[in-house]
Parts: sequence; C-alpha cells; structure tokens
Amino acid sequence: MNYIWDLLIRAEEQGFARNDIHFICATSYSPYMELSPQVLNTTKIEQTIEINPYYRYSEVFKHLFQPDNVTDMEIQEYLLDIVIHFLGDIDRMQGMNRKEYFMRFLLQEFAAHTFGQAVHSYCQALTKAEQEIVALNMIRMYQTGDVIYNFKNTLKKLFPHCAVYINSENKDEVLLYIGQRQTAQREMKIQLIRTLFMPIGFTLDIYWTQHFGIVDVEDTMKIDYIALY
Amino acid sequence: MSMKELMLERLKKIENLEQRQLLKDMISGVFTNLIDYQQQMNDRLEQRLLDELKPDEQQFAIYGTVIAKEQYDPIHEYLFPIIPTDPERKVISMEEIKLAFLHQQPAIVCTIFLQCDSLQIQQLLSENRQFHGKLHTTAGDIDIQVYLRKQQIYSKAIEELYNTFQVNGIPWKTINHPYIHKFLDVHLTFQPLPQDEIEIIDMTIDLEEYEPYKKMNMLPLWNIERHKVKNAGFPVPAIDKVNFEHMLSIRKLGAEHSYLVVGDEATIRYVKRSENAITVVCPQDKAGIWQLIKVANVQQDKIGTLAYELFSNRPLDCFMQRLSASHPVAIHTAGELVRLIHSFNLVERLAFIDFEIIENEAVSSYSYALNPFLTEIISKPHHKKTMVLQFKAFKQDFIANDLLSFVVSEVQRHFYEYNCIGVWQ
Repeated sequence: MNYIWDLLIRAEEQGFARNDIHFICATSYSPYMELSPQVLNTTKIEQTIEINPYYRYSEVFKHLFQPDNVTDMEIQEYLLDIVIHFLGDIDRMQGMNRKEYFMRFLLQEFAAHTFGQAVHSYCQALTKAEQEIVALNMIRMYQTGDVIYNFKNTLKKLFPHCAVYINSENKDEVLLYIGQRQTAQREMKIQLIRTLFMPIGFTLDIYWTQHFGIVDVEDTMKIDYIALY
Repeated sequence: MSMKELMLERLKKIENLEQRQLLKDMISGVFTNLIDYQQQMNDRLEQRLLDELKPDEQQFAIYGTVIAKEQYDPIHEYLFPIIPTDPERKVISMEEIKLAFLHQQPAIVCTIFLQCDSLQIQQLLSENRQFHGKLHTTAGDIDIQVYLRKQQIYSKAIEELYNTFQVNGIPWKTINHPYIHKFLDVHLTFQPLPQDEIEIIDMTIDLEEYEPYKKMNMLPLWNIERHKVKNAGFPVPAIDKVNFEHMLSIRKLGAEHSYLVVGDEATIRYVKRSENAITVVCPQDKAGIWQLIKVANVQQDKIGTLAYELFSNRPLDCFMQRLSASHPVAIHTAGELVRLIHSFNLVERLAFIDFEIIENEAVSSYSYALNPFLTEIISKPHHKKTMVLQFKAFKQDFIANDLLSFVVSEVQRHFYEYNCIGVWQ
C-alpha cells in the first residue's frame, strides 16, 4: 500500500465505512511514500492514517501546514482529512474505462431486479471479485452472443477445480463436476450461473465431490470414488 | 456514505466552536459546490456512455388506446385513428347492403366494441350465435338477424405496418394495443329486405347476455399519422446511376418524430433519415408524391386524460435494454427471459412467476398470438416443445389477457424454437 486510494479500496473491502478512516498529516514521513504508517509494509488497516500530503499534492497543501502556523489546528486537521477524502474519490475515477462502467451499470441493474429478485439475492452470496467476473462475462455474452463459452468460463472462474462437460449429441445436457463439498452458498452460485448463462432447454447434472468414471482416464476410475452417470 | 455526509460528521467533531463555524463557512461556501460539480461531471460521463449505446432505441414506439367517437379530438397532437376514415363512418345505406348481398359478400352493418375478456369473446365467436336487431328506417322498423365476426381491418393495418417496418429496415416490436382485438363486425344474415327507396336512420342490436359489454361508436387510436409528401427538389442520381435519391422534407411535420416510407421492396431500395429529411433511394427517376407514416414521439405528460389507459410497446430505458438493443444477438437463458419480460413496463399489471418447458400442448392458454403474420411462417406448433409462462395478475380486468398476450408474443418472437403460451397463477 502506498497511495491513499490503495488504502481506501482496501478499507472498503474489509468492511470499513468511509468515515472510519481519518487522515492526518504526519509529523515525520518518508518523502517517497504518500502513506506513512508506523510499520512500512503493513497490510493492516489503521483507522487513523498518517500521510505525507506533499507527495502528490504539494501544490494543494503547500500553504496549509507552514511550520510557524500553529493556530487553528483543528481546522487544519479536519480540512486536510476532508480534502484528502475528496482527492481519493477523484483518484478512484482515474482508472475507469468503458468496461468498468458497464460492469457498474450491470451490477446496479441486478440490484434493481432487472433479472428478477432471485438473481439479486444469489448475487449477494458472491464476493465483490466474483460479482465482477459474472458482470464481465454477462456483458461479453450480450456483445458476442456466445452463450456456451461464457457459461463455461464463468463456471471455471467461480469454481476453480470444476470440470464442465457439454453433451449435445442426443439431448442438451451439461455435466458439472465441482470438486468441492456441497454448501448452500455454492448452490446459490450455481443457481446464479445457471439462470444467467445456461441456455433454456439444457439440463444440468451436478457431481459435487466424486467424479463419474471415464474409461481410460485413470484419475476418474478409483474404486470407491466413482459417481455413476 | 456520501462525501457530504462525511463532511457534516467531521464538522461535529471539532471541539472549538469558533473553528467549527469557520470550517462550516468554508465548506458550505466552496466545498459542497465543488463536490456537486464533481458529481455532475461523473453523472454526465455515465450518461454519455449510455448514449453511445443506441440512443434512438425509444423511437418507433407504438402507443394505443380507444376512445368514444364523440370524445375524439381531430387535432390531437399524438393520437390518431387507426383507420383515418373511421370517425366519419356513418350508418350503412340500403344500397350497400343490397350490393353486398348481390355479390354474396358479407354485409357489415356496424362495428362494436365488446368490453370483456378475450376468452369470453373467443367463446362467443366460436358459438356462431345469431342475434336479433332492428333497422330503423324511413319506412318503419325492420327486424333483422345478425351474427358477429372478428374485426379484420385493424389486424390488417398492423400487418401492413409490419411490412413497412421491414421495407424501412426498422426492427419490429409487437404492438401493445390491448383493445383492438375486442372490435367485432356485425354481419347481416341474408334476408329479403323491402325494395323501396328507403333510408336507414339507425340500427339497434340485442346481444342478450353480452349486452352489458357492448359499446357502440368506439374508435381505436394510435400514434401513427399518414401523410403525403412531395419531393423537395429534383431526384439526385445515386452513384450506381440506376437508383435515385429522393429527398422528403419533414421540417413541417415535426423533426422530433419518427417516419416510415410506404412502399414495397421493388420500388424502395433503402431509406435513410437525417435530421430534417428522409432520403429514399429507389429506381424511380421522376419526382412524385410519397406516402409517409409518422410515428409520433409521444410526450406522456402532454397526452391529457383518457377514458381508457394508454399502452405502448416502449421498453424501459436502462443499461441492459440499450446493450441488448445495440447487439441484437440471441441469448436464450432464463435470465434473459426474465429481463425481456421485465422490460415492458407492465410491473403494475402483471408479474412473471416462472416458466416450464413441456413436450405436449396440454395446457390451455390464456394468451393469443399478436403477430400471426410472424408465427404463421416460423411456427409449426406440433413439432415444437411448449414453453408455459406463468404470470400473476395484479389487476384482473377485461384487458388482463390481452396484456399477457402482448408479453407472451414478444417472448415468442425471441424464443421462436418454442411454442409460447401464457397462463395465470
């Protein structure tokens, strides 16, 4: 962590509200870093953060903290805090691009029940990173029309050990080996992917911990560990 | 927590009241404006991104309602009769009846609006009932026998509109006009009528138990007006020297509306729209008069009060709607189905519950096809699986089934590999 936005994003991920973070001007700081925590390489979020306001914003702050200026200390302190929060907001818009915006729009629409109430509640079971994967793949699917690719891709990203077999010879059927134990949260994830990415008319068979046997694939043919297809 | 809330919270923490006042003045003077400005800029950027995705999606939305003839406003800005001659239609004359009988054509004496459920109308039509009526003439009353048939003119008008959409290269959306399928023609059964020169003044019919639903002199309206427009200037040859560009000015008709050029594939190569003109590219080298269809861009707040609710096929304007409109690819997932149904702005009338795919067509449907000209070509229901769409009605009135049919017909248009039917929970 070096920049104020680094810290704000990290704090948000750990469940801190914005007003929990308080920026103050450090009495001694490194000239090469914006944040000056006591422990340089810390990953822990302190609620009161000492910063070096001159690292990037010397033009903004050069008149505020003159050494001989010892009156109105409270104003100085709170003004710095508010302005740094504001600058942090601006920072965080810097890296936005079209895709990022589209993802935000889409996640807002999940919340507005565009895809139904169920999708919204399933989506809440996902971490922020997982939500972004779903949103990104959704946008790609609507742009390219490639449903199966994005269906498989989302499954693989949300269940790292899974194997997806799509059998469309006789009937449209998806066999899914998860490789993890069945939990309510994982069920919800699958329901979400199924609703958003699986074509209507396909059936889905889920194998949680045990793979079905495939002749000639040694790993799947261990006695007592074979599911029947 | 917004930036402004954060500032107020911080202010409260300053213990020195004098300094608190000072900082408060600074913040309310400059800082809140700065934050508002930043927010505005962010919002504007978001809007710009959305506008890059098909900003014209909302155009060509068709609105529809019905009105009593005496309340019809001939200079209404947005609503026009579907059949322009409808408002002047008078009582049929004896000559017309005789002529129809002579050519063995149906003698239609009038058109009625039955304000009841679509299933009741289907039932009535399937029964082939005969009703009694009276012709009031200058030579006294004459008893007549009549029967009812579905009104075809309005359905034909929609089919013609569909063809015009195709010629103009505009994607079609099912029309949501829940009233037009409730218009029935009253046919006179063949019977000897007095030969003298008598005139029919009026007529009455008795529909027995359907009598309470009967409404005479109703007029279906939509936001489409027909115009005849002359070329502005001479036709300009297009580069291939076979086709000519005809410019039609739409400045007078209103540039904010959408326009379609009436014609067929043979005469119109393509149509393009610029801000104040429509350009028709066609092989015809002489200037002439073109028929234009104006699809008025309805401003909801300027419509005024209507006796019957106004409906349209205009989708909700949101990101996903725009994204899917700018990339018209077929996504056949459950999520897309829900999204499609939710996009129709009918949340106050019906809610989608669930869907089911079944092999046979054993479920009785509450919906009927609104795009018969589409489904007749692409669907052969017997080899298809049936998609049963289950809805819940919040308002079970006389148009509930018609709104259901609209939603189901739109789903049918997207999911053509199924035979879609709608049922109530």
